Amino acid sequence: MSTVAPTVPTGLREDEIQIYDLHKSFGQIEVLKGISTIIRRGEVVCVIGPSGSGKSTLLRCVNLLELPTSGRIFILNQEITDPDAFADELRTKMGMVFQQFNLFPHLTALQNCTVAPINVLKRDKATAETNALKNLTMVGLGDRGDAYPAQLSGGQQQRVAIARALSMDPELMLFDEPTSALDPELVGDVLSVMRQLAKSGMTMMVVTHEMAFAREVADRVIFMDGGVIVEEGPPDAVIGNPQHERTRTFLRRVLDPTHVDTGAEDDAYAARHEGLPDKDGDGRTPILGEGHHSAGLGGGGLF
Amino acid sequence: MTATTADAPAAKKRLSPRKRAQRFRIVQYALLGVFVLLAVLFADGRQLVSVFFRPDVIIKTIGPGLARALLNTLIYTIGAFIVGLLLGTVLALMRLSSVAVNRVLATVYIEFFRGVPAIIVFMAFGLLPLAFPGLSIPLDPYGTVWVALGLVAAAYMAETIRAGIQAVPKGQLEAARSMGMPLGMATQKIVLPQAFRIVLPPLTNELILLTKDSSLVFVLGLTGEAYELTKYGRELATTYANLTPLVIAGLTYLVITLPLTFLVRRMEAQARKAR
Repeated sequence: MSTVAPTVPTGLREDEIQIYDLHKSFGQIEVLKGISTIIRRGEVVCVIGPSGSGKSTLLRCVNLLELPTSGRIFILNQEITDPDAFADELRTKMGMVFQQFNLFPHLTALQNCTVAPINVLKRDKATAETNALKNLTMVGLGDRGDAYPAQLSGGQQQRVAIARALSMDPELMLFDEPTSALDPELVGDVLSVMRQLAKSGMTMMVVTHEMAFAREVADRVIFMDGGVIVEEGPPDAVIGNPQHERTRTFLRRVLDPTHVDTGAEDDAYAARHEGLPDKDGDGRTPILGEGHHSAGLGGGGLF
Repeated sequence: MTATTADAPAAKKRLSPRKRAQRFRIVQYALLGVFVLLAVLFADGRQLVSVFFRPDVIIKTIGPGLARALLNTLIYTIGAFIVGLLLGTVLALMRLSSVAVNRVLATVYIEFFRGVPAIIVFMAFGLLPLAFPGLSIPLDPYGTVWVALGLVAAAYMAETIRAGIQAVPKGQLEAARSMGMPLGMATQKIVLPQAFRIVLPPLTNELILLTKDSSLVFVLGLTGEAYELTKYGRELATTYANLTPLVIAGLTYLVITLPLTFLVRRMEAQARKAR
């Protein structure tokens, strides 16, 4: 099911994000080991994978919050990885939603949604406020414009964050685990806003652990592990009928948290970190510490 | 069996924590009582009053001159605070700059002015017109005081503000940058407002210290109209050959510093509640 990795910019108008052989290292640790993919206009792509697989780093490279070590990224057919690129201008076309919301605590919900349109896009205050209010209403918070972030619940804050990103009228949206920091009962509201957004035709790249959401909303699912794309394709194929053992292992753990299968898990873990030194000689790499994957802590149930 | 018999009397002697605390408290009150008693026995009340609180000198000290001096202290302090705040913010941003030259310059400045006694800076400042003939600072003597005091204050404030900027979560800058804000705009609109909220209590403490440091500007050689509290007190103390005016001047500082201290305490309590 995996698509052939493209190697040359296509120049097609409907290509919103093009990533070619992207590598990213933090010091000695190579987090992304050659990622290539193209996301087309209107496509909803969910990126799934175990923690530490590099999926958030991939997303953060797309809008240059992380500077890639090598490789090229094109946004709307303009190269953002060009050292002389006008990255700030390209960023105005990409909305980003963070795991920790990152709302501006000193501004009201409405001001959160107007500060960038007014200052970056030079819109006048009234226009920006009308647009912001439209987006706050879309996320179900049209009446909370005067509230400060601290007065809102986590789910409400994340929806304001979505409205804030939309208020720049972006061409595409990046979501970095948008529901991971939320209490379980607040996840639904955020997901339904994202579902609505997907239906409206927004191009979306979503790093998520919500398999049900990915299966229902995504046009394509990318499974990452160990800094590479292991498998990608339609959600029914990748989630419903995964071709790779690593995908199967991951999905088993995510879809059935009580399932204990430490052997496969340790194998997958070793595969993710192969080549790293194994100082204590117990067959496990020491990078993430022992407790993280020890069977004694309930296997995959913790993560 | 022997162990139990040996332990029993020891257990009887042990004081409960409550009783221990009680006795400790009694000892402290007793000590205080002894000190007060000694003070009353050995101090000559009349002598004390005539040295520090002579009524006729008090009356002569409290007057338009004192009000004028209080006003001057306020003007010097607030002006210097504004200079310090502006320069301190610039220095803080320089210390966090990605340009090495900025970091080095700011560090040298901060370490120099924090390490050299303020009074020596003021003395050197008083001689600047000699070193640079033709140099004149506008609004003399206020301008001179503002700049001299502000230069020193900036070094201290820069470190406070830098800590405040670094206390703003990294995600704030990322969110701002992700919407296309250039670094300068994101700093100005998103980071600094939050940083100043964080450093408001320590900055107010800085203002209290500055109020007292304004007493050092006497070395700049001020004239009567420009006297601040300490200089005013010293002049009158010399005139009457009595310390009372200085005591009054000292107490007058409390008019400024006590409300500020109260304000800091309230802000800190509020910050704790908000967290």
